[in-house]
Amino acid sequence: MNIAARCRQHGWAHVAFIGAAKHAGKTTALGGFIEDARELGAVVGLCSIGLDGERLDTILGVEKPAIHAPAGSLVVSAERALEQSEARFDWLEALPIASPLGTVMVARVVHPGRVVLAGVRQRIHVEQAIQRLTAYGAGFCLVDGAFDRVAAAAPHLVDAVVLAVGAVTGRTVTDVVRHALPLLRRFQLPALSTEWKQRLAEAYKACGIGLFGSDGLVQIPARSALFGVTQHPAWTPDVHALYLPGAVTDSVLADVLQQRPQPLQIAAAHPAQVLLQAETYKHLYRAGHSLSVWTPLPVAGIAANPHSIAGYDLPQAALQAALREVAGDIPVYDAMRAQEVSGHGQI
Amino acid sequence: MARSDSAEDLVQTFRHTQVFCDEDTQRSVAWFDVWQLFAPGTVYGSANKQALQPFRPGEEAAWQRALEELGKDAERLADADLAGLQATLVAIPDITDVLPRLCTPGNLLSPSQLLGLKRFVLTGAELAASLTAQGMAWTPPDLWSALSAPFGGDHTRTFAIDHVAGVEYAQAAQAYTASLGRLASAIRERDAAWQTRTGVRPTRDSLLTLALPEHKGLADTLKHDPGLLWLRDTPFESVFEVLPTAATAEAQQLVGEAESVLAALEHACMQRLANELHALYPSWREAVEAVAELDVRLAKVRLLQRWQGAVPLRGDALRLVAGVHPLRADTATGRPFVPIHLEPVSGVNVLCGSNMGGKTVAMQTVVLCQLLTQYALPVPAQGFTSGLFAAVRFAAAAETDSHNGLSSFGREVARLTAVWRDLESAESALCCFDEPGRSTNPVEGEALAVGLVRALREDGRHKLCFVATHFTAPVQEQGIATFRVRGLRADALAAVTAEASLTERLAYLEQAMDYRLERLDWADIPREALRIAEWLGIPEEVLVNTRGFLQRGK
Repeated sequence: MNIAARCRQHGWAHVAFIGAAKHAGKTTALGGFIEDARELGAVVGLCSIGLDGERLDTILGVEKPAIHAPAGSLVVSAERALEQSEARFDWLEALPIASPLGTVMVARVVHPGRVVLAGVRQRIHVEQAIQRLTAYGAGFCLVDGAFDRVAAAAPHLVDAVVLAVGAVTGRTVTDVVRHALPLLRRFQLPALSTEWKQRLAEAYKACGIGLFGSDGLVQIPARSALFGVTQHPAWTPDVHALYLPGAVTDSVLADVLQQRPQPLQIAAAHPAQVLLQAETYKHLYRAGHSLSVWTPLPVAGIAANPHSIAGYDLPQAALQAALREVAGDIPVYDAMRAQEVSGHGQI
Repeated sequence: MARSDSAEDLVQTFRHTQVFCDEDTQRSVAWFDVWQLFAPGTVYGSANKQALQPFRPGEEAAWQRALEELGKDAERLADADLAGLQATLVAIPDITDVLPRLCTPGNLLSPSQLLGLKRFVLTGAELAASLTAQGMAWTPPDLWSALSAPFGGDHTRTFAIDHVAGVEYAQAAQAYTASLGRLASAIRERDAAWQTRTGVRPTRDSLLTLALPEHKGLADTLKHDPGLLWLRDTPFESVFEVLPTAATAEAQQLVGEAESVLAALEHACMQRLANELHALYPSWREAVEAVAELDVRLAKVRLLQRWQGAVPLRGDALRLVAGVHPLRADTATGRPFVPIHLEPVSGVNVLCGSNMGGKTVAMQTVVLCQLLTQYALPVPAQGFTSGLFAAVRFAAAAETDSHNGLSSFGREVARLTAVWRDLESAESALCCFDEPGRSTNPVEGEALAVGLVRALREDGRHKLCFVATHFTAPVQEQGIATFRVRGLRADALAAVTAEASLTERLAYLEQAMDYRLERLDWADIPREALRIAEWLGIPEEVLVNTRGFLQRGK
């Protein structure tokens, strides 16, 4: 499967790469996308959000693969990180983003080689980077996220995500899939219906919490979630729908679930805001509640990595088959070998 | 890239000019806020603005030249020209951090620094080539040609070593790229061979895995293959590292050699570039100063246009034509601000009139125009003529200073004393005293005002003084000029119906005031207060007794 072609087909030009854990194969998946894009003749723009300047993994002592950028590709990275890269550049622009590794620059690869991407740490910086990469002609803008950081997976930043799932999270296929499920489920949450969007629209626009009961919508400040939504005077047993603009965490929902025995429609802003453990999902659905997102973010593919940096390897076919069972329509592939296994299972 | 003036910057800027104009005076006329309106658009212009000093007596020739340059720039620059130059100017990058590195030979520059320098030069050349800048007699194009020479004549707004390196570098880069390609081919061939042999293609990490138990036999055989390094068996797979072949090893070595050659050429190129740029350091400084100067000139014209103001003229006597205080004019709500015309005499000028703010604003406007003039800036007036003063002071009407525990009168005396001391040491001065004596009892307050007027009149040094007062006695002194705020129009009060409320009357009163200043040949304070008080509805009993006192004097 050519993952870049799939993205082009769907009109997904800005893609975030997210790992279920560190060393899950995210950067390798990114490298595979770059090669696929080159086959299409598309210019890629590259940036990374998260920790800075890693050539070596300081925790596990394993070299983290830098990304190989072909000639003509565009990169956004801190100046000193680019100077450490093997590639050679035509320096295009200094962005108004400072970092410990110097000013963040936009550059075009003149002579191909590995590049170190660093210096972009906030969503607003990713937005600036994507805007400039596109202005300089990038057909695809690829955002490499730090491990378990879904900061880049915001609908206003990117059009789709690639999830990297790897053997580093477990010694068996079952363990790996179990670990990946919460991340996957975030992005498989259904979109909120139009009908409910109309009812909760004012809360969404105001970025506040929306409580919908028989008397209609009541807005309360978003910070109410910190102290328990149900502690707010506006909360009544009558509420049967809830919009949460911020992080939807286990503790936020625990508070709600304790107070609300009747089925509740819960809406999060987008998948990156849903930070639930598997147990919470279970309790949620067992009680008959539904969880959806205002703006979904499609998954372009799941990149399965059977190799663990701890020294063991899982059987590729078995890993991909197990992921296929839970992936639904999302294609599962080995980014390192560019083999696709399409999924048709249910959550 | 512009930098706004912080309060601290402003205090620092003006501390050195304290003999010329102290902080209290600046505060009284809202100088800091007006100064913010003079806004260069680049860091260079902003730095130049911070370093600006007022022209002092003895510097008339330079001051005249600065005013003439402003006048010519104002005539020459249409709105479109000004906007075009400014749009180009604000795009110029900030190289102030790079210049110190250029100063010292041998300092290598980073790619972002070189990109900044190149863009600076290209933008400067673009400005210099514009007809408008040429009309302003800005820098010669040669300056920018010389600065762009080290960049190899490339006019793209990007920087790459390829632009400035020679043929040898290009060849080395091609050789490096070719070696990477040969390595990639060798690896592909190697991996294809393993796939043919085992049915499995090695990963990008050069790992080859065979599933167990189905491929156990092959795995056991491969454990002895010299082309592989067996790593481990897991319950599921046998894992091998694919070793380099002769071809991949040779290709890898060639990559290393090519990379070393390229790196050495890069370093040599960057060193040469740094040396050439260093040799042009004086020209870089000249270019930066030129950009700063242009930015300031444009900012002055912009200010002139904003105020629809005038270029000050040099003259022996001060004359203000249709002046307005820009901040008062900007915040006036729906009512036209009355421009001020004033032709004071040398010596003491007393302003009298109703106590409704016209006198204070008049003096503030005069002082503000004088300060702007001495910085060779435009003035918010249709005309302003003046000379240079060594000192400018404004003693505002006293308020209680709760921080220092000073009463209003204490503060007033302290301020008057401080101003007087400053005037004693200044060879020439413009000074304003707003309602002296107001903060104490009327008898002694009036006496104080008279004392001040006489002392100022008797001081033989070159001074232009204004004293605003609502006392009668100071106005009747000899040897002074008297001006008054016209005050209430004669027929104004009759225009309001008897049914109008107090609020309506107060609002109308403000509208009915004539704030124009007029020179008086006879000395008399306009007496409107009782008429106004009666119109506003003061109790009849109070009014009768007040009139009785005025008639009988007790």
